[in-house]
Amino acid sequence: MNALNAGILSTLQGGTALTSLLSGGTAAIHYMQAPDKAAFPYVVFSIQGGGDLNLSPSRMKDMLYFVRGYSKTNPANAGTIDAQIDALLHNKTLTVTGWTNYRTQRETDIDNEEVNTAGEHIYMAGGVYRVSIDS
Amino acid sequence: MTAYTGSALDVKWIDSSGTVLLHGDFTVFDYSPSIDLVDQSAGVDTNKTYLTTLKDGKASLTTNFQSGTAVGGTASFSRVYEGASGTVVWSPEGTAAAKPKYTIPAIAMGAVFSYPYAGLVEAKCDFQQNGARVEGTN
Repeated sequence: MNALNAGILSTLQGGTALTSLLSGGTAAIHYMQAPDKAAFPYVVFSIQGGGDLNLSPSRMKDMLYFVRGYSKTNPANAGTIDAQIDALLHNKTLTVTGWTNYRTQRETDIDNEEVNTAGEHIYMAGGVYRVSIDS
Repeated sequence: MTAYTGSALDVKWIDSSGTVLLHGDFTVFDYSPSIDLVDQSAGVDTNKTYLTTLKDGKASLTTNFQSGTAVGGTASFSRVYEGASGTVVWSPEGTAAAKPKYTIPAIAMGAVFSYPYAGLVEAKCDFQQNGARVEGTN
């Protein structure tokens, strides 16, 4: 779903209130996973599920995207990044080449904490967004 | 025998302004024929029996309504306002030669809209059959 991935990436990169929170600005937004040793904080988005609706002759896709921020500072910092992601996506209309985005809504909140091999705490905050497009 | 889905369905509404294709974003199309019955049971009958009288039918189209004034939006559904007269023609397997085609003169009962907050906006229109159904081919 390259067109939709590109639409989400450009939307997130266009949010200066978000990118100003990240280490690396617009380059700190990654699809699937961040590169090894990427500097924190950063954002990762990935497809969680979904696919074709097959409801009508018009091709429609209903996708779930997991979009989250990672921070080593504290949970609140990850939450602040998540809030900016939410402001850019929830009930907004994405530009998707070849498609019309008719719904983008947050459905699930997910927070997590991991400890890396160096003993550092990494905080994640994000949400699952339902992104629906019509051709 | 070959089963098939409704994916090739073609539905047209023909009125005095021309022809509108209604199937672009349809999700369900139904047609239900019916017939009036007269109860002829009497006397010592232990089971009801009927005489058949007048044939009838209804068609119904449900579609994902399109925004704006495009085909599939108001351009299509303003034509099937309640009381509009026309003809419904549907071809369940598409319009290739020799595929089945059904035609009914009809009165549109008006588009019924549903606007769910987080779901697709749907329009549904019922058509009251207004004469004989013609079964043919494309």
